[in-house]
Amino acid sequence: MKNSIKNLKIHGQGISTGGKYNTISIMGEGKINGHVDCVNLKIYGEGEIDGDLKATSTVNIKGHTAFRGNLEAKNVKIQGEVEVNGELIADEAVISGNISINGDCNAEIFTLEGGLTIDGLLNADVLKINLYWPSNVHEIGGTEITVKKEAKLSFLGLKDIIMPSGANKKLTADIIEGDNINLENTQAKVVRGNNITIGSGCKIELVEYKDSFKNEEGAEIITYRKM
Amino acid sequence: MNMEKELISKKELLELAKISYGQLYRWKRKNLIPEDWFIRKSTYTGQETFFPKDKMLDRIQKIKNMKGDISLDDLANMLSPNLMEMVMESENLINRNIVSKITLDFYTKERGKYKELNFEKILYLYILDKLFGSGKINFDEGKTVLNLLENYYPQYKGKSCELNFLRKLGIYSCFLISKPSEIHFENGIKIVKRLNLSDLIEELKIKMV
Repeated sequence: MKNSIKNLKIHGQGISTGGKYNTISIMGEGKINGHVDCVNLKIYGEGEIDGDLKATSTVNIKGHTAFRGNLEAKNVKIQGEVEVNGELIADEAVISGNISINGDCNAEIFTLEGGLTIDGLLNADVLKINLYWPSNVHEIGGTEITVKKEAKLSFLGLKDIIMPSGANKKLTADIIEGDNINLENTQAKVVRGNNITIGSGCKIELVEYKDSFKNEEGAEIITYRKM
Repeated sequence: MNMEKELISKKELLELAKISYGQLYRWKRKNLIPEDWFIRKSTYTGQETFFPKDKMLDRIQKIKNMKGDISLDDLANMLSPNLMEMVMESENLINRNIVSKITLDFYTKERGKYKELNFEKILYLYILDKLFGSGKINFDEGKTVLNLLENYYPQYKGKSCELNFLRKLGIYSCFLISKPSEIHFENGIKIVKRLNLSDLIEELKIKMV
């Protein structure tokens, strides 16, 4: 019986329990206790999921949300700030804002404008990061890895007034490994890959490349060698 | 018995197996490579990842061979130690040479006749078949093994585990142990058979599909 799976709506303020839902929408402030299985999750405002969340389709967040367990969905779209205590697993994740993950982050496509803190491995096939805030990742792995300083048209024009001259807009990582790597404003101990371009604002202790290596102006590299 | 396995660094592995970082990370994302094969060690360049060499090369070969035929997700399912949701008619098991008739007859005698068997039961049959086929274990002992599996294997759900069968002075016993782990016995004990159940599940899945 398909009808037995209900939608959950919290408009205003409310607390609910986990379980199986079709679409969950929280507008305002909502908390869900326990594990959740749903198709879609939409949070506009403030949300808290006190367990693992699994969405077979989309998770869309505008505002602030804390996931106390894992967050698993086909598509994850975040505008605002999200904390994940477990792992983030998605086919595609598009984030503008800030995300912090205590575990690993697995996505086929991961696009971020903003900042991130990941204690584990950030593993994505295509990874694009535009840095607006200081960011930290333990390890990055994937096929295409691109890290840029913020784009010219910042999504918050006001940001430079609030946080003047982004001197700290740096990504810090221990290890970055991928097929094609293109970095700016990145500080890393080791970068390994086939084709590597290290751009301005980078400080890399060791670069190991297979096919090509480009060292652009403004990059500081202590050692590099061909594998 | 030497349990130490030769390790290979990630860099050497990519070189040797002719795969790229992208592929390796993709396979890791799809759980084609078990988490516990990623062994982190500190080296002078900071942390590096190592793998059990033979297992890893074997796994990469399997992935490369099967990649064209089925999707990565199905492949992950086949390679994982999770049980499949699949039933098969007992006659089919014999026709397709998955289990011998002798083992099936033994099972029928012990547990009654089933028209269809689920994956878990097929796995137990498959294990018994391996044991009987080795010629080192008789039917009476097989009963003990079957009881052990039925009572305790479900607790290992999704985790790697190993079945050990041992003998001392004509007395036999058997046990299950989770992997990876190390066990040592006094010299009087003979380990007659040691089966890695994750490997068997993998084999069995490939045979059944």
